[in-house]
Amino acid sequence: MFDEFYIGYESTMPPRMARRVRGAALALLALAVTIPLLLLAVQGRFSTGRFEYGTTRTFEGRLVEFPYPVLDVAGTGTAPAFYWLVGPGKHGAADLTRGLDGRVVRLQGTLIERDGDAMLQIEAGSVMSVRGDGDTKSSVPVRVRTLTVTGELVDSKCHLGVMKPGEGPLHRDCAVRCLLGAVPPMIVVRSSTGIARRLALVDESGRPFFSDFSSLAGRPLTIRGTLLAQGARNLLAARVAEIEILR
Amino acid sequence: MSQAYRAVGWNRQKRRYDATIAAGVTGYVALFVLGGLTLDPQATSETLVIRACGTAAFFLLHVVLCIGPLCRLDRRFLPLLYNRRHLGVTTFLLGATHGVFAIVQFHALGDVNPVASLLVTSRGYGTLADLPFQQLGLAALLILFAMAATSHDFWLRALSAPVWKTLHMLVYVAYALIVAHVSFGALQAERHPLFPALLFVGIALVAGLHLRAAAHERPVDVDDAAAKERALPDRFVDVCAVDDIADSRARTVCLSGERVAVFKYHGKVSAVSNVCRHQNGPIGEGKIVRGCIVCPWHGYEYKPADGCAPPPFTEKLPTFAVKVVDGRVLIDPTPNPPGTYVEPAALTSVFP
Repeated sequence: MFDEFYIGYESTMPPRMARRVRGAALALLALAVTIPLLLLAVQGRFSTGRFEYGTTRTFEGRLVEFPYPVLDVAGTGTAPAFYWLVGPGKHGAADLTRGLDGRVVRLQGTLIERDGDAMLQIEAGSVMSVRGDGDTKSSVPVRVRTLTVTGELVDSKCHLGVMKPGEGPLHRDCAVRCLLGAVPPMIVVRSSTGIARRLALVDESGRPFFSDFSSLAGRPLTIRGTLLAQGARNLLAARVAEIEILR
Repeated sequence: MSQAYRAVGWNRQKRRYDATIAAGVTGYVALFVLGGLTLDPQATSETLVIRACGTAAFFLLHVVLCIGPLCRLDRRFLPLLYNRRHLGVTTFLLGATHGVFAIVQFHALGDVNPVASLLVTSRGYGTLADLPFQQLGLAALLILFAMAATSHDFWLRALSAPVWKTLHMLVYVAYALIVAHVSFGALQAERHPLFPALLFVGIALVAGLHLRAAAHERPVDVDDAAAKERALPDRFVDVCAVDDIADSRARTVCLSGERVAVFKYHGKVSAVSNVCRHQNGPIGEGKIVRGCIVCPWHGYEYKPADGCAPPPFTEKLPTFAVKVVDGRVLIDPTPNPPGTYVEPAALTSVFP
């Protein structure tokens, strides 16, 4: 009959109990190695977006303030033709660029980039007008055609590389906070091959899109709207009523 | 068992126990983060830390929940139980790290306070998939915090054993909340079938072990009905033969709804309540060591004749009148007040 008895505050353990406990501990340690390897093997791949956290560089270009702050640059080859601009944290750049529409500015920023779409997180107080040609107003978006797309509404800052994942249900709350903080909303439309096309969302008047984003962000949507072109950028103008949440 | 409260009463076994926990947890998190960065260079370390700590906490919670029933089924696992609270505190710390990183990443630096953001941003939109999973995780974390903060015996005495035990039974509520947190969070984003499969295995393991342990205990409780039928006119109930009890050990019987531990030791028989005053441990699975009953869970000691812990300790168990007639043990099912001395029944046939 098994008659060993364990008293935890004594210094030794009965031998058969010690063997069982040693076996259990080894089994648990083996699981502590196996489980993370299994989870790593099957978890979804991380996006190719990148955020050069801790690295700021100087950028110069013509600032576009509306509908969303953008820095137009003379991009050549694979270099971006423009950078979306956002502020630090979960904030857009409207406050940091106010009154500078059309001006050539120099600013300090941290690069965010994904699949050729580029964005700068502006250092607060770093935006300086370098030429006083304020008469040059930015281009007004022009209508291209009506368009119906299905995709996910994301906050562009996280989606382009600040967060991984920067989309989907796990990121939904963060997306809502960023969008309420005036980070430009984008609808991400994926082709059957997985290639993403991103369209900044504006309201039907071409102004920044605003709603209670909590019902829209991080969810698959179908949006019927108007495709607009503003320089090298494409925008999608839509009314909230024309957005259908897909279950 | 110690007279004064100390943060941790270290001994060799406890140091080994904690060293194993530390090695396992450190290895798990390090492997997850470093392995993740190696396997996928696009991965970000903060996301890997969130995932490593969350999954490690969930894994450890399964271990914590399985130790209890395992010990009911096989006493050789009892050494895992003695310091189980260290596993519980570690589970909370991992969960808190997961939660803090997630709150900072998903809710900080926005237009509202991060905690307010956590509480108000997700509101659910009528489908299960929209259930606000982060709030479920927060609720579970608060329970684990309350348990970790009160895990020391100081709080057991301050809150009283029933309150403390009730508080710590909330671990099952925390487990259910975390299952929901995972189901409506991570499992909505990760589509590989291994994730729900692992979750199912975990739930099945915890539930299965608890059901098996309950089935294992059932014969003791069923005996209660049979004992009533065996009651003698003087209210004493024939509970077993003297030979059914191993020396220095006990047999547990159920009388009038209460479990009674009947000990045979040094040619005598005594009966006390089966419920340890410390954490409701099964006294009947204890042993007489140096003249005292020792609880198998945490080593609390009681004298078998009066149910009192040896001085300077003050815990007391209810005792039961007992006699031995013709090799049978008879117990009066009415418990005496805790600490009441009852003359042990002498085994004259064994020790003439």
